[in-house]
Order: sequence, then structure tokens, then C-alpha cells
Amino acid sequence: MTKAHDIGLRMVRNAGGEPGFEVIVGGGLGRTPMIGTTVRDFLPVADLLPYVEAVLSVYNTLGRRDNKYKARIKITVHETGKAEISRMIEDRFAELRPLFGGGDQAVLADIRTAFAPPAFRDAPVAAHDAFYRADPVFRSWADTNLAAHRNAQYAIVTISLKAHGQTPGDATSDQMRIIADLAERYGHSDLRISHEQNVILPHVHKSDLPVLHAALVKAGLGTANVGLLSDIIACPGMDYCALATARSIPVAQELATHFEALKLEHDIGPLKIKISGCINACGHHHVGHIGILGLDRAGVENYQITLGGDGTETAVIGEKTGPGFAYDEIVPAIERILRAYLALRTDPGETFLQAYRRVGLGPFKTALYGEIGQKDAA
Amino acid sequence: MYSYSDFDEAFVRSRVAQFTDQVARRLDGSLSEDEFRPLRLMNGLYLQLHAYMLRVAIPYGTLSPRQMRQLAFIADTWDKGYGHFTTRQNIQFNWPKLPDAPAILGALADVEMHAIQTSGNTVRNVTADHFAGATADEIDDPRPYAELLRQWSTDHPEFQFLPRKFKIAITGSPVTAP
Ligand code: SF4
Repeated sequence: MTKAHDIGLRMVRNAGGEPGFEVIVGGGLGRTPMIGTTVRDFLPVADLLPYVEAVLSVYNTLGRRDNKYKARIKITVHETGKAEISRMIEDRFAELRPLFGGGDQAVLADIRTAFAPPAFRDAPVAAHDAFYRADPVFRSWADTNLAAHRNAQYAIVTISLKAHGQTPGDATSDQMRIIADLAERYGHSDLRISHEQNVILPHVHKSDLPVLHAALVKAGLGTANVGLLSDIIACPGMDYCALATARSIPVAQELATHFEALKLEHDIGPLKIKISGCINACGHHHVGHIGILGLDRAGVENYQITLGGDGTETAVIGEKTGPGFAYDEIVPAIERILRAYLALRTDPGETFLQAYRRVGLGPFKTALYGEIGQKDAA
Repeated sequence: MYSYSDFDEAFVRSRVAQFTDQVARRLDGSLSEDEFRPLRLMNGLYLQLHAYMLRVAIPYGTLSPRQMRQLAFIADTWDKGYGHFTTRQNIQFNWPKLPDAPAILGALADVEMHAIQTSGNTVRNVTADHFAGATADEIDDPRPYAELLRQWSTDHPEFQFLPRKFKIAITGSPVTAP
């Protein structure tokens, strides 16, 4: 998501192999979605604070205070231009850099000691491998909810907070306590919250995975859907938010339960659906493979669909399909899109996003609006 | 994980004390909602459709089991028994009552947490890869840099009234976790 933030810092290596940051400025979603601009290809790690302060300082002087909708740095970058704003940042950086005098590097060295890796265990994983082969429920969860750890005996576990029909990202107090206990017992006491609104146990030894999985299932936390259709991001929308123009949580819940009943989401494979309840885009719908934006049309909820968005390092803003859909029509509309994808993908390995990039909006428009409707929708 | 220095601890405690006083003045009517609004927003307290909402920062998404248990305790004691994790790696409580807000902030301070700069035109909670320190394709762990940015941006006098809110994300992998 480094391309959709006011400042995105992406670690890279230079030709000499040293680590540094690519500095990306002026990305952001909201009313005016923009992919950030790279103002520095390589910033040595030691220059991080003076450089970030230079960006803030330039923005603080230049940023617009006359119109709150034009006040984010993405507008400043857009109106000033890449060349000019880069020059201003570099000038300010040259002034600030000597003032830091290495104090920040001493602090950083001190901070580093607090992030030393845990004492990894060395133990056999053969029993886990056998269990993986023997137990289909565990295997299905392992296939979606685990990620590769740098230590081959370990796995990164994502605990889904997206049980079908639940509010995405909600956890009950009992679930929080169970997760805390499990992190202590099996996860070197480390917990993370992901921007996909799930909880991560970053360090779990593979031999502990079967018993961890059983405990999660018992607590209603064993949903095997990370990265799939029902792993939806939805903003609070009309259920909580004073700015909302439509509901978003109930749309997420209905999509999840509908496709769970059809048993289709594992077949559909990797898919990011993101839902916002107004143009402020807190649900990041612009970068959803399928984005849903809830609007208000003369007092009635109307949902606009965008396709092909991507929030990773290949960031793209999704394209609008055409006229929106009423609340009752949105789930069937998404189903038409996904049935079209299943019919046109070259093989099960071609993801929705890959297929979309290959064929474009056309076939999905037809699926949504029909051959005739497409003309009106154009 | 990182533990508060004496400086962090004293700063967070002083902000709780200050806000406790501000809430008392709002409750006895000596502060109007217009006067109180910027003060509560500095402490992450929003007014939503049906109730207040408190947004608590989880710096770069990293949490200890002890902190997670305290969030559960807060949810049970002052909310409806649940919390909502957000796309910016924070947690929101959707039903706190205004008179309880100081106690909640005190309970957060007990486990080195707070709601400062989760609102307003400031540098917000810095987000980082949720797989930091574990993923195979990482050049370096981004969390120490995120913590450095957190310390630098917290209460930074020059950047408390930016033109608009400001969000920083950092990743240690050239290929970001999706
Ligand atoms: S996008 Fe959602 S959470 Fe954000 S302001 Fe709109 S309704 Fe509220």
C-alpha cells in the first residue's frame, strides 16, 4: 500500500547492495484517488528522518488550507508538479540534514534491540506434514491462511476476522483473549493487525499448527478464507458513520454468506472485494479487484462497481463499469461478474485480476448489463 | 517489542490527566461542544451516527498479548464486548460513553497504548507490513524505522496543524504483502 499513502517508504537496495528507501509521495484514495509519485529512487536509511521532515515541511508551507477537499499532499504534488516539488524537498532536506547530527541514528540503534527476532525453536515438522496430507479441513485452512516464514520450520498464520456473515474486522472480547493466549502459547507472544483487518501470528512453529488450528476453530476463528472473496474490506458505512451515503457492512455480510452457500470462493481463488459507504473511500474500493461504492440517489442506496483495482506495488485505480445497482441487485451483479470470470479464465490458475487485465472491461460489462444495456452504459 | 521510555510514559500520562480535566469541564457545561470538539479529536474521540467512537493507535500494527487482553477488558467494561480492527491497523470502540473516556485512556496507558494523533490534521499512526520480521523476502525489518517515525512525529510541534491528515506507510519488502 506504499503507493496510496501521503508518504510511502518502500525498502530497496541500490547497485552497491545497500538498503535504502524508495520514497513515494502524494498517493491516496478518498475523493480524488491518486497513485503516489516517486520523488527519490533511493534514500539511504540514515537519511530517513531529515528527508521525511523535509517532505512535511514543504507540504506544511505549500499545502492548501482554503479548501479541505484540496488539502491533502496528493493535490499539492499534482498542482506543483513532480520536478518542482522534488527540488523543493531536496532543498529543504539539504538544510535539515546537518541539524539531525546523528542523534536519530543513536535512537534507532537503541530501538533495534527491542525488535530482535524471537528464540526460534528447532524441532521436527514431519508430523505436521503428515497431518497436512491427511486432514482436508486443516489443509484448506493452511492453504489460504498461512504464509511462508523465513525460517522453514515456521509459518506466518493469519487469523481471519471475516467469518461468513460477521462484520469484517470485528473481534469479541472472548476472541481477543483467546488470541492473546494462543499468541503466548504458540506464537512467541507476537501479534499483528493487518490492514486487511485480520490478526497475524507471525511466528508459529509448524509442529504447533494442528493444535492451533483446532483451538481457532473452537473459538469461531478458523475461517479458511484469507485472500479469498469473503476476506472483504468494508468501511463502517451507514451502520456507524455520520458521513455515510449507504450501508457497507451488510453488503459484505450478504456477499460472504451468498458465495459460502454456493461453495464457490475456493474455486474463484484470490480476490479482493473492497466496499466504501461514501466517496471518502475508507473501504479503499478504488484498489479492490472488485470495488463497491455506496452512494445515495434521491434517498435510495445505489452501488457503483469498479473493476481491476490493485493496491500492491503494481497499484492501479479500478475502472467504473457503468450505472450503479440497487441494494437488492448488488449481490446478483457481483455473481454475474464472477460467473463471467469463471467462464473466461484460461485455467484455474489465472486469477480474477490476471483475467481482467487480459480481457479488459468489455466481457464484464456484458455480463452486468447485457449486450443492449452496454450501449446505454457506455 | 518496543517498550515505552520514561519520556513516552510521562507524556501519555500527562495527556490522560489533561483530557480527564477537559471531559469534566465538558460534562459540567463550562466547555461547549464547539470548544470541546478539537480537544476530543486530539485524543481520538469522534462523534458518530449513534455514539462516540474512540480510535486507538496500534503502532505499525504490533501488539503484545497483554495489550490484546487489555483491549478485551476495555470492550467488556466500557463498550459492548467487541472492538473493530481497521484498515490502518488501529482498533475502534464504537460505543464508549463520554464520562468513561478518561478511564479508557487510563487503561490504555497502563499497557503503553493511547489514542493520540488518531484524528486531526497530524501525522497519523505509521503503518508497516504485518509480516515484518517474519517474511522471507524482506530486506530489513521496517518496525524500527516505523518506531523512529512514531517517536519523531508524536507531538511534533511543527506538525500538529498540517493542512490535512497525513499518513505514512513503510515496507521492508520490495514486493509488498497484498
Ligand atoms: S467511506 Fe465509509 S467510513 Fe469513510 S466516511 Fe464514507 S461511510 Fe464513513
